[in-house]
Amino acid sequence: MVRLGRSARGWLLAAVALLACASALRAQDRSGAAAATDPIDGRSPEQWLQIVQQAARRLDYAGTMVYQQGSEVRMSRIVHIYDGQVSQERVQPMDGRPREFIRRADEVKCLIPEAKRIVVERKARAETFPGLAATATADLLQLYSVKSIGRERVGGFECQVLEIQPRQGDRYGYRIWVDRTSGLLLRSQTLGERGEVLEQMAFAEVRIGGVDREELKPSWSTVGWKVDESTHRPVDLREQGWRLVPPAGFKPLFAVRRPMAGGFALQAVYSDGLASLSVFIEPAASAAANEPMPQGGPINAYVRRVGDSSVTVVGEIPAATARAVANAAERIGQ
Amino acid sequence: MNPDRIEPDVGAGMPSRPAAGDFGQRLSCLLDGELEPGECRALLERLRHDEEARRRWALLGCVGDAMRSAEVASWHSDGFASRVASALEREPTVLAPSATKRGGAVRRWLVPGAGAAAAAALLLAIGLPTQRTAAPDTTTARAPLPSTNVAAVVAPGQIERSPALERYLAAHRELAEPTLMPSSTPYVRTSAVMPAPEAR
Repeated sequence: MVRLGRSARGWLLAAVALLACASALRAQDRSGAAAATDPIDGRSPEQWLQIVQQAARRLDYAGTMVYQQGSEVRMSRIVHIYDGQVSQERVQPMDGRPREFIRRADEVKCLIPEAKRIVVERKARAETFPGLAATATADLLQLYSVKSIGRERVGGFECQVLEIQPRQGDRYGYRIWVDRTSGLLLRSQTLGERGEVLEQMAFAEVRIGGVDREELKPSWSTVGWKVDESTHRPVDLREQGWRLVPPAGFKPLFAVRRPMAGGFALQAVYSDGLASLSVFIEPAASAAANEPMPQGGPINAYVRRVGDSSVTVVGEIPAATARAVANAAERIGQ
Repeated sequence: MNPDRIEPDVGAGMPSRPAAGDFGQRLSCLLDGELEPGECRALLERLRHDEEARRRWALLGCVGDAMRSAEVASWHSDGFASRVASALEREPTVLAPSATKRGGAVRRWLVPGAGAAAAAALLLAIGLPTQRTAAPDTTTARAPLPSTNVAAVVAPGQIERSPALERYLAAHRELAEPTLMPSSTPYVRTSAVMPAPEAR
């Protein structure tokens, strides 16, 4: 036993007291900081949605996305870069005929090597249709209930799993896996009415950050390729004599007049933030109508004839919803 | 709710094989190095005796290698699936799980309902019967058409395309705007659809 002098004992006591004090403080610190230092656990569903939304646009990532619907599985290589202002992306399907999609902001170049052709698609934004992004998350929560259902690893990343259930049965639900660190959505499932998985997408492997701009370059030199501009101009549907009624919460994104099947079609696009649908209106003669297709994935189409026009609804919506939208379309002011 | 949960009952020489998706998931877990040693042994035992299982296992490996390959672009053609298949025939089947050897690259193969063979063998096509009903009476109030589903899968060689439907899909994809998902989502979903050749 070590004998200590009086003053040493005093120091020891003081030290012990100090230590106790410090550890008590630290404990307090820990408990007080639990919410603050691990803000990830404290995130509300709304915060999660905002983070996911931002991450999809703002992060640099490159990976292989696997898409599965029924017995069909496809893979695409995806590269995304955000330079602080513009989001750029390259999608390289790995099966099917070779092609690539190269997006810069609102412009997408579709490369078709066998035809040495580039189709340039541009979103014709009407000023009355602001992007969804700013208000989407608050609005989404009106339409869907979002809850966190746990953690799982996807592709080596610790993910938060969120379940997004529609408040009404006219749209699908989703389950998403979000990287807890970066907020990137690494896996998503579209769920049918009975909770069945209609389709899913996931990164089989992904690299977040450190993406070289070179990776955005197409696989082929496109010198001398023919460039087709996909042309459409914004229109006012009412002026065109149409009234459309999208499902609750679906906001208009675009209404355009575009070339279609040798003629022209009106296309109105609506989105509720997760799903979107297009309504095409064109002269019935040029429309391929009445073509039933087998049930399976989340995309449904419904065609209806209204007077001498054909109304086609296409979107990631249940069949009944597509039908309801088509049935609600009406001619006005004539 | 873990879709990747593994049932510990896989054994060699099982008279009835588990559902395709289940087996596909086990294989995928094996690739990911996520099986318990016992499960791993049982699955390997089965691989030793079951030719179909071996074929799928090799296919998973091939696709995985291709996906991780720096020359992914060189696989980028319509022959992807057939090259995977012919690579299968050339390559001896590897029976050892190799996920951990490759620097721990974690892979997750999403083939719950299909198995990997489907991954390479099936192509997206827009299968549309050419049936055309009589022009619907415009005065009838009831909807003249059944609802339709766009994405249909047909076996290779039976690919049918409806130009009309492809046009709608391409046009929809062009303007659809996912807010949570990456912007590429519509393109991934309908990657087999050609852009509308409308502009002239």
